[in-house]
Amino acid sequence: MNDRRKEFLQGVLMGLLLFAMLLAILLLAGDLSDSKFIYVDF
Amino acid sequence: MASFTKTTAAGLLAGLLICLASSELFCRWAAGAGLWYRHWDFTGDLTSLPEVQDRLHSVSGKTPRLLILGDSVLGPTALREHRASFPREQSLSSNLKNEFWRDHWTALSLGADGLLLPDVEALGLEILKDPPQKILLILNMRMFAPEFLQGSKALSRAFFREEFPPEVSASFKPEKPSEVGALVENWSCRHWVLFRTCNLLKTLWYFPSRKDFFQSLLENLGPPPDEDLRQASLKFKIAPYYEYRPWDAGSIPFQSLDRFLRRLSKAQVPVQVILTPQNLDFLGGLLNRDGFAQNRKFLASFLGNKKDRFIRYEDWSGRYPSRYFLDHCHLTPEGNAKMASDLRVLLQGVKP
Repeated sequence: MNDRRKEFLQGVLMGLLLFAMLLAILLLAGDLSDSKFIYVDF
Repeated sequence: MASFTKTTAAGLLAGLLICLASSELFCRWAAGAGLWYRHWDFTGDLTSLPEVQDRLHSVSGKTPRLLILGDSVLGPTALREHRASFPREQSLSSNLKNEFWRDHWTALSLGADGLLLPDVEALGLEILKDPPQKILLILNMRMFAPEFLQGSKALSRAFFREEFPPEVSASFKPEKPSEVGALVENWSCRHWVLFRTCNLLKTLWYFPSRKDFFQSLLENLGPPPDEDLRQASLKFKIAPYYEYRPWDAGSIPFQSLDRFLRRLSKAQVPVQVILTPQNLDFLGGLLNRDGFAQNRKFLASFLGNKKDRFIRYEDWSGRYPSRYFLDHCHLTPEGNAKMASDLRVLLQGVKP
């Protein structure tokens, strides 16, 4: 029983990590080719 | 090493789903309560139509309220590019919010870099769902430039197309159909609030864009950009905006402006229209002064001919000396504070 609980909690932890990765991608990803500077891009 | 069992998979799924559901609930609450807009001024970017609706919803219960529409003159981009400290706090939009707060007005900026008049018309359709007590529309020369008179370039944000009836929307049709990525992004912005919240928050650090953010970091490592070269390149870029071509009431920008004002007037919402100050010294030989005067006269008569008590127009293009400018039209922090104070006098009739 304890082993199954430990396995489940390990899974939950992996789920949290996966969510943290998804959040990092959503907050940090973007189009690098797109410039919106007013001034001309050299 | 622990094995990946069915129980672990169930835990992973449960953990992921709980995080997704709770973050979605939090973001829905934050969007409804206007949490992000209370803490930061997002002038400069409009990331999606649902985000615009969130922004309008954030002030819907506040009375009296002022909505501010315009292009980059409202936001912090030029200040940021000139390495001003705290550009968001020193922008024209932030100054206006502070000025109007003194009179217990809530001001919300829907200003965005490169905003054009068809975008303003689309924003007007959203605004009419819950009309404010006043609207301030700041016009700029770029809005009437030949480059943006037709086709998909006449609209700065493609997501506004869905606001228009099919016959109007067809005139902004892009040359290439939308890519699958853009369609998925559009769908995600509408239905996944965490996704559109991240898109909004991202503009706080990747401003004005992700590429520009990294470029600024690199520039900090090397010598500052050559100011003469930067000015020359800017003049090269803006020359077409100031090239003389008689403005035409039948063109897309004027038609959009006309429809925008008609709808708001019908809803009895007072609109103050301003032609934004221009730095005539910077423009120098780029500007055909006679042509410029003729177009300004045309705009004044276009707006004046409406004889509508809800629409007021002032031409502020020659209002400030060049010391208030960073470039051709963007103001210094002092210029922004001065213009915000003058606009308060104009709109509220208060003494400075």
